[in-house]
Amino acid sequence: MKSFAFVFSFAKGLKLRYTAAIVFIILAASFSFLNPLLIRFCIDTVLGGKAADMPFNLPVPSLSTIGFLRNNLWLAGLAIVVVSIFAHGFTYMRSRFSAQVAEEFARRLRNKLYDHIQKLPYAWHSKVQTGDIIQRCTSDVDTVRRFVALQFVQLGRSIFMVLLILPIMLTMNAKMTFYSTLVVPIVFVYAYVFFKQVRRRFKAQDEAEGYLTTTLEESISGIRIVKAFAREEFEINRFEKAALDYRNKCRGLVTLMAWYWASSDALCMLQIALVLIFGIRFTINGDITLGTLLAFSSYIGMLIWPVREMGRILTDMGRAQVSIGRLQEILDTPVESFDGIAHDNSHRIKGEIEFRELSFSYEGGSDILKDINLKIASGETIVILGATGSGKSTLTNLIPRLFDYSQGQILIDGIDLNSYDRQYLRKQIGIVLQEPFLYARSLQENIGIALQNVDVVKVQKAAAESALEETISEFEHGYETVIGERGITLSGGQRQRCAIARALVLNAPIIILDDALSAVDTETEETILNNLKRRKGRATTIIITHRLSSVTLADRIVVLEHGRIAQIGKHEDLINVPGVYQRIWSIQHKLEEEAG
Amino acid sequence: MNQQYQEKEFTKNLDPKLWLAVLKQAMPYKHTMLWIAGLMTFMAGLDSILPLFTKYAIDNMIIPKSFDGILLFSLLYVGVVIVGFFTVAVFIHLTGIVETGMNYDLRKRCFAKLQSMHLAYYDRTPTGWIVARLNSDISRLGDIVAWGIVDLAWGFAYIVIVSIIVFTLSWKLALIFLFLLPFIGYFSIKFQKKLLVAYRMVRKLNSRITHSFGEGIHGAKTTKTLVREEANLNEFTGLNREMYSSSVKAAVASALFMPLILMVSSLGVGLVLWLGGVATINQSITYGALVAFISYTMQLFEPISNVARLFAEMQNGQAAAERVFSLLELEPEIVSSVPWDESWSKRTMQGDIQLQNISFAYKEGQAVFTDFDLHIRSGESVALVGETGTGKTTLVNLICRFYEPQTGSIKIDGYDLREIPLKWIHSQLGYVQQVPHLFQGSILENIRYGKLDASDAEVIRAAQLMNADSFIRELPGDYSYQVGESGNLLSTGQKQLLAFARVVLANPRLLILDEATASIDTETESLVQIAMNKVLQDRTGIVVAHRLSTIRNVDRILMMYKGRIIESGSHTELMHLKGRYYKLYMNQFMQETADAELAREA
Repeated sequence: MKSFAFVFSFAKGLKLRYTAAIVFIILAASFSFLNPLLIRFCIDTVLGGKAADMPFNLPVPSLSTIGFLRNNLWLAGLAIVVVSIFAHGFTYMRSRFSAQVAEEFARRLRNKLYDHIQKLPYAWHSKVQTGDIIQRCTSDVDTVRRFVALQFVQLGRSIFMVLLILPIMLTMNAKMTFYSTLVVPIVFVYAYVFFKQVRRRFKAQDEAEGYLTTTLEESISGIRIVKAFAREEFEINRFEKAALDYRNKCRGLVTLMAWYWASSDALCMLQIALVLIFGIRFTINGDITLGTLLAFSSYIGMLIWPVREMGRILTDMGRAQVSIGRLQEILDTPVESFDGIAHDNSHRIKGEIEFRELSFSYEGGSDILKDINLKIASGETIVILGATGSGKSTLTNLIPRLFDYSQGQILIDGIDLNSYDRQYLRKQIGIVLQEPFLYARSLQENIGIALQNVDVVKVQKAAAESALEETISEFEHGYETVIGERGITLSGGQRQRCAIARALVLNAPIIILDDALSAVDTETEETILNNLKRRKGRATTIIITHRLSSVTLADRIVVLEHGRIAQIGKHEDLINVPGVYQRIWSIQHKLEEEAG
Repeated sequence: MNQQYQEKEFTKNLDPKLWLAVLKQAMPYKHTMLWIAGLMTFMAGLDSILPLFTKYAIDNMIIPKSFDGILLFSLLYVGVVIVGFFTVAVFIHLTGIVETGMNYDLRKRCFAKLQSMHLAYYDRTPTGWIVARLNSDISRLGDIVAWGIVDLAWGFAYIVIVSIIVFTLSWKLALIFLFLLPFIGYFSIKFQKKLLVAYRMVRKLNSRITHSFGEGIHGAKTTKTLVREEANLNEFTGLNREMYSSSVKAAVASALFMPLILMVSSLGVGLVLWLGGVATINQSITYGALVAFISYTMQLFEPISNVARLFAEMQNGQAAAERVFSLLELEPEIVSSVPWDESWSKRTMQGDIQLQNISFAYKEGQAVFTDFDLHIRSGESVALVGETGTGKTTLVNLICRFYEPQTGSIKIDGYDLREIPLKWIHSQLGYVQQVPHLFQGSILENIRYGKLDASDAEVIRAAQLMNADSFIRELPGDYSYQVGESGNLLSTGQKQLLAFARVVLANPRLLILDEATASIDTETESLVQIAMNKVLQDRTGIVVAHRLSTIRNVDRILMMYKGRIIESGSHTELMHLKGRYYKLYMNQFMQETADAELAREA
C-alpha cells in the first residue's frame, strides 16, 4: 500500500490519463472477446443452421437474417475485421496512455531525486556509496516505471480478462467451464512460486556480472602496474575466472529457465488439450455445439498465457516495492536548510573568520577537531600544516558549511556561521579541493562555471593566474577543449590548476586551497604562488599544504596536530621554537644543510 | 572530441562477410547449433500439426458423432505435449550453452589481446570504450547468433510446413496466405527497424542521465561550494524532458506494432471466414479444414515478425560486431623477438642501462627526444629533475619498454630491449607511480601483487619496512581490510605507501619511482625515504621528483630540459655549476630561507 501512496504522490494531473488507460483496457478486452463469439455464431448458426443462442440474452437474429448472412458471408468476415480493428485500436490507445503516464511519472521522479540529492547535506554524500545511489536513481527508477507502465496495466488486464471470460464461459456451459479452467490456477501458482524462488539466482548472476566488469575496468585502468610487474598472465587468469563464473551462473540460470518455460508451456498446452478432449466428448454428446467448443478453445488461449505472465508480474511487483523503498529512503533524508542571512550577491562579506572553542566530530566518530581558537583577519593569508588526518581539511570544510558543527562557534564578520544562508555564504568562498571535480564540458565553461554570465576576459585572467594559459594554448581547441569522458583527460596537476582558476574567477572575499598544488610541478607552483602573492590582501586566504614553498605567502602559519592547534605564528617565530614546524622545516631542508 | 569512439549509427546494409566471420566465432559449437536447428525444425513441425488435431477431431469425431479413436487421439495429443516439453527444455538449454559459451570465448580472447597491447594503445582508448566492447557488444553478438538460429530455423521451417499443409488442404484458400505475407513482412521489417532505432535513442539518453546523476553525486562537494544546484537542476530537467519525449515516442511506436500486425492478420481471418465459409457450404472443404485455416491465419505473423526482428537486430548489432573484430584484430606494436622461457626466470638483471641515439615522439612532429644518449650504470641511483613536459616520465616509459623509440637502441645489461622477453624486463622491474593503482580486494592481496607467492609474513614485513603497517593496523580487519574499487576507501597517501610495500616485496633489480611520494606528508615521507635508500643500496634506481628534498641521496642528478640532459652530477657538483639546477634549487629552498632571514633581520 505504501508503494501505491508513493506512486500517487507523483501522479498529480495524471489521473485522467491513467483512468483513460484503464477504460481502454476494459474496452480492448471486451472487444477481443467478441471475435470467438462471432466465429461461433457463423459456424453454428450461419453455416451449421442451428438455432442461435446468444450469451447474456443478446437479441437472437431472425431466420431470414441468418439466411441473408449465409448468402453474404463476406459480412461475417467484415464483422471480424471491424471488431479486430476496434479491439487492437483500443489496445494501442491503452499502451499509449499508460506509456505517457509512466514516462511522465519517471520524469518527475528523476527530477525530484536529482533536486533532492543536490540539496542533501554533504555529510550524506560523504557517507553513501556513489555507485549504489546512481543505481537507485537509474535502475530502481526504471523498475518503478515498468511497474507503472506495464505491470500495473497487465495485471489490470489479466484481472479484467478473468472477470469477463468466466461469465461468458459460464453462460455457454458450466461443466465445460470447469474443465477449461482446471489447470489455470496451477499455471499461475507455478509461475509465481518459480519466479519467487529464482530471484536469488538472478541476483547472483547480476553480482557475477558486476564483478566481471570491475575486474575488467581495474585491469585496464591499472594497465601500467600490470605491465610493470609483468602480471599479464595473472590478470588473464583473474579475468577468465570471473568470466567463467559469470558464464556458469548464466548457464545455470538458462537451464533453470529452460525447464521452467518447457514445463509451464506444457501445463498450458495440457489445459488446451483438456478443452479439446472434453470438448469433443461434450460436443458429441450434444451438450455443446462445435462453435462453442471453438469459442472455449479461443478463450482459453487468450486467458492462459496472460495468467502465466501474471505469476511473474506479481514477483516483479515485489521488486518494485523494494525499489520504491530504496528511493523513499533517499527522499526521506532531510535536505540542508537554506535560510538565514542572505544579502544581495553583490554584497561582499569582509572575510574575517573566527573559530571559538570549536570541536567537531563526524557522526558517531571521535573528535577530529578539538578546542580550536583562531581569529583570521580580513585579507590575511594563513597556511595550515599538519600530518594526514590532523584535521586540516575538516577545518576548512566547515567554513562553507559543508558540515555542521555542534560545539563551539565559527564567526564570519562577527556573525555565527549557522545564521548565514548556505548558498549566500558559499558564493563568498572560493574553495579548491585536493582532488578537484571537473565537469565533462569545455575548459571555458569549467573555469567560468561559477559566474552568472560567461565572461571570457575574466576566465582568461583566472587561467593566467593559475598558470594554465600555456597548457590551454597547446590544446587544439583551446578554451573550447572538452574535458572528461567525451574529451581529453587532464593530468592531476592540470586539473588542480583548472580548479584554482575556477575558484579565482569569482574574486571571492575568502579563498581556500586544500592541498591544491600537490600535483603541480615546482616551477609552475612557483608561478602560481607568485600570482597569489600579487593578490595578497584582496581576500582572506587559507592554504593547506605539505610543501613549505607555500609558507612564503603566509602572514601566519597554523600547525595542526591530532585536531588541535599545536603551533601558531609567523615563520620566524616558529622556526626558532622546538616543535612540529621546526621538525618539518629541518627535514625538508636537510639537503641544504648538507650542501652548506 | 574523440570522433573515433562515438557510437556508430544504425547500418543500412547487412555485411554478409562480417556475419560469416561472427558465425566462425561460434564454430566450436557447430554441433550444438546443428542440434538446435534440428530441434527447432522439429518444434515447428509440432507447432504446425496441432491445428490438424482439431481438424481431425471435428471431421472424424464431432461431425460423424463418433467416439472411435478418442483414447488414441487423447494419448497422441498428450504425447505431443510431452515431446514438446522435452524439445523446448533441450533447445533453450542448448541455446544457452552456445550463447554463454560464445560470449565467454570472445571475452577471453579480447582480454588476452588487450593484455598484449602496448601502453600507447591505452593512451588513445578510453577505458569505458573497452569495457563496453567486452560487456554489451560481445553479449549482443552471442545473443544474435544463438537466438538467431532459433528464430531462423523455427521461422523458416514453420512457414514451409504450414504452407505445405494449407496448400494440401485447399490451394484456393492458401492464396489468402500469399496475399497476406507481403503485408505482414513489410510491417514487421519496417517496425522492427524503427523500434530498434527508437530504443537506441532512449538507451543513449539513459546513459547521459546516468552520467548526469554520477556528476551530481561525484561532484556534490564542488556543486555545493560553487552553488551550482539550480543550474545543474535546470540542465538535468532539460535532459530529462528529452528522455521523456524519446521514451514516449519509442513506447508509442512499439504499442502500435502488435495491434497493426494483428489487424492485418484479422483481415486474413475475415477473408478465410468468408471464402472458407462459402467453400464449406459448397462442401469443397470440411469444417475441420476451415477451423484449421483460421488458426493458421491467426499465427502467421509470428514466424515472420521473429525473422524480421532478427534482421533488425543484426543491423543494429553490425556496429558491435565491427568493434569487437577491430579489437580482436589489433596488432601489439611492442613484441620481443625472443620468447619467454623458464631459463629467463633464473637470470638476474644487473641494471646497466644504455640509451643510444634515441628519438621518440608520442605524436608525429612533436619529438620528445632527438638523438638522446644516456648511460646508467648498474647499482647507480639517478634522479630526473626538470619541468613538466621535459621528458622525465617518457624516459621512464622507454626504459620500461612501455613505448618504443622511433630510432636508436636501448640496452639493458648489454642486450637490446627488443631481443629480450618483455616479461623478463618487467619481472625485474619495480615501478611506483604518482597516482598509485590498487585493485579491489584486501590490503594483503594488493601488496602481494608484487610477489604472487609471498607468504603473509613477507607481506607484513614489506609493509613494516615502508611504514604502512601502523596505519593498516588501525583499519578494521587490518591486512584483510577491503580497499574498495581502485582502492577508493584509502587516501592517496595510504595508497602510495601500499604501492611502496608492493614494490619492495617484488624485490626488483631496477627500481623506478615516478613522483611517488607527492601525497605523503613530510614526516612519513622522510621515513619512507630512509627505507627506500636502504632498498636502493645495491640496485639501479631512477627517481623522478618535483620536490628536490626527496632526491638528496642519489648518486647522480640529471637536470632535464626540453628532452635533453643539460646538467648531470651530484647535488654538490650541480650546485657549484650554478646552472639551471642551482636556480631551481634556490627557487625552492633558498628563497624561503632568504625570506626568513630578511624577516629576522628586520
